[in-house]
Amino acid sequence: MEETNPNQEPYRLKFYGEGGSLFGINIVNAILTAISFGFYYPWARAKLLKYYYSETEFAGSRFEFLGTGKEMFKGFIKAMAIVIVVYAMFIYGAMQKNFLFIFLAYILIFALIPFAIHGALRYRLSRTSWRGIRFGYHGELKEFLVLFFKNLGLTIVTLGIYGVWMSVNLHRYTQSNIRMGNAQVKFDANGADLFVLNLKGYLLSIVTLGIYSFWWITSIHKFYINNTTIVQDGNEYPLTTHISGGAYFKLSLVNILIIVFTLGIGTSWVIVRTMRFYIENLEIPAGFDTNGLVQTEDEYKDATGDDMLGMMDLNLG
Amino acid sequence: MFTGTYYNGITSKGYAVHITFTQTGIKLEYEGEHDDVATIIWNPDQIHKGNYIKSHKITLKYGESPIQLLDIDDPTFYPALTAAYPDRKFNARDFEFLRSKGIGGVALMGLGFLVLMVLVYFYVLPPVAEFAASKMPMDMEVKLGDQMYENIMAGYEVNQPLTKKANEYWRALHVSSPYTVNITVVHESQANAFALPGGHIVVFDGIIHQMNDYDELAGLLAHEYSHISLHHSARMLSRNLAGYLFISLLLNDASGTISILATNANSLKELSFSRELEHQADKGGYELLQTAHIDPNAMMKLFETLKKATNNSISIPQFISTHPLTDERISYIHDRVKKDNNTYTEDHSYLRQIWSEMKADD
Repeated sequence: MEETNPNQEPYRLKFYGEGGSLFGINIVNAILTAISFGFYYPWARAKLLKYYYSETEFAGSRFEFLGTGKEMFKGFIKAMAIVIVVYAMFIYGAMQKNFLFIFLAYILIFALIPFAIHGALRYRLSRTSWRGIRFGYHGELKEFLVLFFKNLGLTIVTLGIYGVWMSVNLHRYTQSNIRMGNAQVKFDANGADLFVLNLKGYLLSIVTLGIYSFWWITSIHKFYINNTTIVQDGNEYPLTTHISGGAYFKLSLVNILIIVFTLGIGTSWVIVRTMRFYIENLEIPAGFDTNGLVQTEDEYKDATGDDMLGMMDLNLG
Repeated sequence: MFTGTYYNGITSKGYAVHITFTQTGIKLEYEGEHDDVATIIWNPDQIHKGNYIKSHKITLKYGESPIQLLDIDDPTFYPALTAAYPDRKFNARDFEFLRSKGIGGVALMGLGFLVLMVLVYFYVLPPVAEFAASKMPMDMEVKLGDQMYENIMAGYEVNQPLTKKANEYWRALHVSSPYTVNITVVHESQANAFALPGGHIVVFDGIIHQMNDYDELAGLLAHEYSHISLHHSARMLSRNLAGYLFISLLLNDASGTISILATNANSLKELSFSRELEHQADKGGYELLQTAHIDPNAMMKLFETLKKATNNSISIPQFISTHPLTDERISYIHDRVKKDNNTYTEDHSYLRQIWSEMKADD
């Protein structure tokens, strides 16, 4: 039987991905996607996610992505149909100089965002597992829609200022509905704190001619991570990230140099470096019982959101 | 005998197991809850591969709900497993077909695909796109042209007096046409003119400025009109668009296609017609001048003017870069003028009058 964290050291995640392996996957994916005129995309995405997950380790065990290209293909087709409709509306509106159509197309895009987020979370988490324990998303679509449009309305009314509170509120809802077996993620934070961070970041970035933006981005990431806890058997285990503005600055600088001097071929190495940076700086308190997770989640299959999010370039981080 | 960690799919607790390969399946033995030894047999037909990490760290999965896991971190395990249970599901690797071809075979297939795509792009796509354009109904061509005209005109300032005169001039040529021809003269110092699908001709006043004789304008308009009546603009547009669509499809850049659709209208004036299309437009223009009883030698004069414009300025006038003025084109008109020996007696006093008014405004 395995000992539960004998050293009482906090847990650190580990990322074993390598630029060379990722490059190989990306090349094969690119060729197959090209040959198939894009229809290989869901399988390519599954390959990529499987790689990322399997190279991420927590407490000596790797994560696993259980999704398949076939599952995501169905979502891909649905997402494609929606994208075609939206584009058709844009083109028709532009041809006819009918701005109502263009306006409606924008409305449609906005209306689809919460569906995409919800669908992506549900699919992605249900297909994530660790030591055979499946993750899950328990958010309710109806609740999320109400929350999304209420916040969107307030953001529009306040000319975007409320956007900071909106992102905190949406993050609170989505994160707090994540389950890892019988453990639960909880996020709580104050929008005003993020607002102050942003205000400070914005002003200092201007004063420092943009250099402070690296520290700004870092502070936002820390805000989200450090306000997240994992709840297990009634105990709260707050997450911590050890990233710093200086380290992020160094990472970005080297990444840019790699991209420039390899003419973009080094992108896979940049992705691996960046993922390692975020993953390996994440810390989970020593008390968390890695042997105590219990399987609770049913299986679930519907991949529309997962692909839509990829296509709309929304990144959940 | 191998060792690994077993997860029962119910909790995240791992059990250290001893693994042996037996006739009935993989035998897993671990210490139970009460110091006894628990034994599990995995039927090889129900084993599937989980995470598969660099061939030495491997996860096997077993059964359905709960799915059990077995982690083994030993480079000798996988070869021993495949030797003990050959031809099982968990032995299958991705892209077996590609692997069997080796790196050279894959590279060759990739190259073959690339060559095929290049051939399609250069030899299959253009005729298909042009065929599609030739089937375009006229009202759609006109609509498309109007749309492009509006987009393009946003970037130019119309020379109102010359536009009015140029249209009068065109009407005086009495060309019978299924299209409603609309000429727009814009303020632009370069010597250029272009035709849009469906009837719009845009002329830069720079080219009018450099013309010496009234019939050169007839030659220019006749040439541009021939591009329209022969659907050249629609054909080239369709060709270019098909090319962009094809490439963006290959690169899976759907949103790029949309932006191209939006910007393509503006790039039409940069479209260069092939020598063949230019030749066709010269021929059509020549015959149009004959029908209008204008000495087709006007085309020669127009070519001279354009040549002079080339020599006088450092940069090549756009008209020549987009309508390449080749020796063949010149000699074709030259030979035809000689051969046809056109003799027209009309003095076209009305055209001359409009022309002199245009020159006065210029």
